[in-house]
Amino acid sequence: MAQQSLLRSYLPPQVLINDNEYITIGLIFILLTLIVFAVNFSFGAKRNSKNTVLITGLPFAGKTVIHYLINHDRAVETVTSIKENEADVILTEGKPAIHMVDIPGHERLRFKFSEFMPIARAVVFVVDSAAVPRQTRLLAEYLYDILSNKFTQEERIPVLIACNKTELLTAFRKERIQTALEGEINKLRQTRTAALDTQDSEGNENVFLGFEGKDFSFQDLENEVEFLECSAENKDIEGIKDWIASASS
Amino acid sequence: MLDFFSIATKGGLVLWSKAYGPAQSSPINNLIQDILIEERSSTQIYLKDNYAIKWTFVNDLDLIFIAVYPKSLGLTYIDTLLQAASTQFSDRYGDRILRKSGGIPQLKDWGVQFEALLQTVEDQDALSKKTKQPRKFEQTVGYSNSLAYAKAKPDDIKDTSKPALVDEDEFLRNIEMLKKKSASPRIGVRKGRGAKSPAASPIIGSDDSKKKAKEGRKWDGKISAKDAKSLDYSNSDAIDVVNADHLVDQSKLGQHGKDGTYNVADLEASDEDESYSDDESEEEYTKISARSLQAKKPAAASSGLLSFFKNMTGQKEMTAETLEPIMTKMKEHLINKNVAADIAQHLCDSVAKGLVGQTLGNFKSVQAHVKQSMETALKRILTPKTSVDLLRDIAQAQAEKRPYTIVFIGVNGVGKSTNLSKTAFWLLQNNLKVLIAACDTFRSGAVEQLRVHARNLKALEQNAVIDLYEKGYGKDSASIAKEAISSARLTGHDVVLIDTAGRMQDNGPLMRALAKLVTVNNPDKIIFVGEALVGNEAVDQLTKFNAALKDYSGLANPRHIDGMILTKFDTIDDKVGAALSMTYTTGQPILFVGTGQTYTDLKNMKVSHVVASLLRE
Repeated sequence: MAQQSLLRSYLPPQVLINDNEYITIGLIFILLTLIVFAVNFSFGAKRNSKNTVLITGLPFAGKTVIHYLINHDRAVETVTSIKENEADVILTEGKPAIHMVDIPGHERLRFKFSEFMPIARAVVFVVDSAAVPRQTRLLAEYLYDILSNKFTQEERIPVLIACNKTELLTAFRKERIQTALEGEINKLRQTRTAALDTQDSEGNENVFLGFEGKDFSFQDLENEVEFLECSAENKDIEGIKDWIASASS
Repeated sequence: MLDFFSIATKGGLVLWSKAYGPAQSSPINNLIQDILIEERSSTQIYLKDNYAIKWTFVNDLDLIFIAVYPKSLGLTYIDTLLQAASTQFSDRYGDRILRKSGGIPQLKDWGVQFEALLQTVEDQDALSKKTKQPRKFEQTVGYSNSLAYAKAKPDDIKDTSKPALVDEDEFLRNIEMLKKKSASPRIGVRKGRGAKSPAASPIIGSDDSKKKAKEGRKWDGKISAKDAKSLDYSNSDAIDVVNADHLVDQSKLGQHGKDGTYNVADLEASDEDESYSDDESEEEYTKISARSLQAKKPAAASSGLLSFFKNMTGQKEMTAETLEPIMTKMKEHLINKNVAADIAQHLCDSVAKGLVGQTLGNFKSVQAHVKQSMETALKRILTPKTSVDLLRDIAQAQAEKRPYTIVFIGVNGVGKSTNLSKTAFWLLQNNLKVLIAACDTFRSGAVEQLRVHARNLKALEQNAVIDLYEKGYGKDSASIAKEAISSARLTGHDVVLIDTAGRMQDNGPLMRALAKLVTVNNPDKIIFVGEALVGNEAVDQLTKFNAALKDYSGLANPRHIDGMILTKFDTIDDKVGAALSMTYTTGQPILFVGTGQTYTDLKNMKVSHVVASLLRE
């Protein structure tokens, strides 16, 4: 104790603080380093593992079939999914594996897509080309949810709209599908931004897609949205593979 | 006979399927969408069109086994078939599926094996049907007095009669077995594995319990028609109701023994019975079922040390027994959160069904795992399956140049008028022209209340167009609504909000009047207004309102409740169970929640918020 007080007397008075304050400062310092480490670690891990490609869409669009075609190169018979399918696939030699997740399309399970959004690198939205006229609104609503998602907006996650089932006679061309969806989203962004607030949320969290005062167009979005025709029935999915490979490289 | 059998993963991949009839996979999709995704799998059977569908889960492999058969045939062997098929399949291909998780496993020879299995099960069933037929004359007492009897060798008669009775005995046991299984799937297997619970093990202590159980039965070769009938459980189609009684009886029989669970004793006994059953196919069948049910036993028993370590690291499999106390707790917890009791029960059963057989990861407690899957289940139920974008619907109606009509229904004093005016306020904010139809012609002051609201709302907004359509009291509400809608068409109102009188769900005449109002006007949305305070009552209210809309409508496609508004949500803190009860009962979304007294206190419900409140301790 005597030595310490001796030491103190040598030190300039500005530096002098109480003993317990040293402890407090030390503790705070340790805590800070820990937090920095933790944040670094978690962020780092997230950034590195962001190689997930999501396959979404309405039920019966052919998501699971496409998933198995890409990952196992096999045409399979499917029923409505209850759980997501996951697989790691190497599309181009020498590139790291891509984590593919096929998300169930049923409305009740749709919340799952928002759970995967934080790790998503790209999104493939599968559309049943033959069912577009009766599903326009459902499609647009789901697509709106994806496009206006916080992560899609912030990280400009590219979206591929894969118009499946082109082998059917009644299938729509991708241009028609695009105009149909644009028209519907145009209406939706009016109604969605006017919707009531959710419980204990601060202000409206919805973002406005495209530019105000101009009809909605996919070109106005900050993230890349591409349309592509494909047919899982005829195993014509090379376009999707190429897109995924380029989007995740 | 069986129409369709399918083995699919929960991811939607069909591993194997076989159609015996014209059935497509569409009833299976319906099953998945209507029952499995909606967490209603506590039921045993699903009827769709002409088909009846039964299914069973193998959760550790994420598989579903589905059997489709014509509804008109009450096939009794489906449960046995599913059970035997699932155990055999997972014994045979389980490792392969686990190793190649997410891949497409090769299923060699399964077709043949399944065919054999189906054959034995069907034979078994046919045999039991045969024994159900009336006795032949040769077996009756009358015959023994005849001349023919004297001529015939006595031995022959004995030989023919005895096995038949044994068969029946055997068959009854099998039926009991499968009933128990269907009540709690895979219980037999788990018990078989249970190195932890020796009392329940089929080997230890089964000997005397078996013998004593046998003493209880006193029919050696003599069965009167009445007895046979009372013991014949084979054609009981209504499984749920009848089943319970039989289970009680049977457990009594079991208790005659030591303390052994009867289920277990039964299983062992049927294994033993082989020795004196001389029918070949039956023998084979018993072997198959017994083997497949006990197949996993030795592996678990031999690796005692390993299982110790597995327990240490928490890598253990969940069984019905380990889940039960946690599920009971979970159920109580939900009830405490004001969830209706039977819904909590259904939900817990359904979640438990999805958990039995799963293996826990490292350092994860069962409780945490149950909570997690309960969270997913709750999210699933509360997430709307239809669009809740009311404004988009209204825009559609605008494009068709017709007014959009919304009817508010509910019991007395839940806040129909108040929330109607809140909705009106929101619609006015979006520059829509609103007409309120005062169809509460019953309660004094109801019309005046709406008039005040209309006046207030008009004053709140500059160019708000909101009008009240009223015809005083005592009139027929259906015709007032009709007039209001046609007047809205003329005056160019976009939305008609129809306020109805509150009524108790048991009030027949008033429910009839409501159904008439709905039928006559065919509104775009029927919104049920319910209090968040309501507990068990919620289910009753909703089912009876829905039933009234259906029964009294006289239409081929009757209307039902399209959505709900949950009022007084600010008064309940975290006891948000009513939200769950209501969505589970109707399957329809909660459009808004009322959170206060002013016009702005109408909010969209946040699913994650409700789920968090429900699971909070």
